[in-house]
Amino acid sequence: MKQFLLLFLFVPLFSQEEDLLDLLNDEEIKTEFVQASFKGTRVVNAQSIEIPKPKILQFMIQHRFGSIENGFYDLFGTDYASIRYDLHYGYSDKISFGAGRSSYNKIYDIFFKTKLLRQSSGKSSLPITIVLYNSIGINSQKKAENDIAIKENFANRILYINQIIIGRKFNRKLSLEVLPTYIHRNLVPKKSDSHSLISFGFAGRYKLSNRVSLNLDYFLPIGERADLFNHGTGIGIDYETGGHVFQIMISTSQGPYEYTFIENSTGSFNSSTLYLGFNISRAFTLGSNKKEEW
Amino acid sequence: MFIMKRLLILFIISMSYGEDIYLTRQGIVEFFSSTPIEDIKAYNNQVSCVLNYESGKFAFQVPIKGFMFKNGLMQEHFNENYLESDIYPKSIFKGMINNWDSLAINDSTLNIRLVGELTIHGVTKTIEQNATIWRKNGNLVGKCKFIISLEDYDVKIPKIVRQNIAELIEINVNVNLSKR
Repeated sequence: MKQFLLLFLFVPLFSQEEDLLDLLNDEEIKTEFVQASFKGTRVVNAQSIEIPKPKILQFMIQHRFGSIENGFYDLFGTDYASIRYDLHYGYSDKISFGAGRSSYNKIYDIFFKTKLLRQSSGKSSLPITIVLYNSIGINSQKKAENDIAIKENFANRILYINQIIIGRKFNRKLSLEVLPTYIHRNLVPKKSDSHSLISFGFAGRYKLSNRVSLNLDYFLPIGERADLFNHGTGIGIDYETGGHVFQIMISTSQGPYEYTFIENSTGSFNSSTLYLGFNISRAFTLGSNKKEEW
Repeated sequence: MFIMKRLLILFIISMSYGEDIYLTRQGIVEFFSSTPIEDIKAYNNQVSCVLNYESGKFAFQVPIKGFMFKNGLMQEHFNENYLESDIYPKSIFKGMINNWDSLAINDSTLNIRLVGELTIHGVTKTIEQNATIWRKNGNLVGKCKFIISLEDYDVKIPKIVRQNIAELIEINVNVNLSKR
């Protein structure tokens, strides 16, 4: 009987040849926020769900050429240029703001981009990211004698862009988002035109490799528009190096500002009046993550 | 009967306590990449380490997303492009301490040799490294410094940033293990 019990006593010793790693895996899972749903803060023309990292100032140049329809005569529109550049500062993981200027209609704009919810996994998981984008644009074109409305009142120069961007990174490669958009313009071209414009945007990216991705965006207007209205559509490729992101695209719009590419796209895929363009963004680090250990 | 009872108690104790296990979940791993153009360092204090004091076997577990960089963009690229932490979330170093039975660990630093399998970015290599270990307030403190080549672990650096990222990365490990 004793011997039997002694034998029993050794059994646990044998069973303890367990993998030491198993001891480490009983830890509580932490909440992890999903990173890098898109490479840049823009998909093609549309805003992505990304904002600059905290304490990073991003300088972005958005360059659009003329229409490609004349082919080699003006080298696919590269004789002409429309440019927007902006500075965009990441204040925290959730808040960013910036200001920019477009040469198209000479619009100055200030904007806020705020992450309301962030996609996460682990302890508290959330399937989507929700970002709010608010921008005020000021048309700074000269007062023209024949354009009495602008002349009369400064408020006539102002337009408001409001977007809710709902996005999800489905896997390493695929990220999609929808962008319900509300634009209010204080001045309308014709009396019968509406001041408030609603549209619904779709955008997505698919990573072809770690550094290259294919991007698409499209805006569907809701409600009445003028006859000549073209839908804002863009297709582009991202190429990322260390601190730069290059985006090369072809789109139906010559201006990279929301009001221009959503409501004033002049090109169409049918008539090959499309616009080549590129975005370059450069991140400047203004501070560093505070850590005692550094 | 008395002996049997005692044995039973012993048995239960041995079941619940098992062997001498030393463990931490706040170990520190730092790495440095140094080139004439740029110095990069990252810091991770979520490293788990466990040591079986009886057998000298050990295991490290390093969550890749736990590495903190000064520059948030670098951290993103580190996870997305280089270590691909979505696919390979953890690095693991598992092995044993050479000649464990003949070592006497006390308050002064003792040089030891670790032999084991290091897994980074899904690639496993057998490595041998020198390390030191000593006792401090009942805990076991371990330190290790070594150098790895990115090429060995299939971490690809594109030409355009090759001048910014070193081929050889220096790694510092610091753990303070307490008895479980």
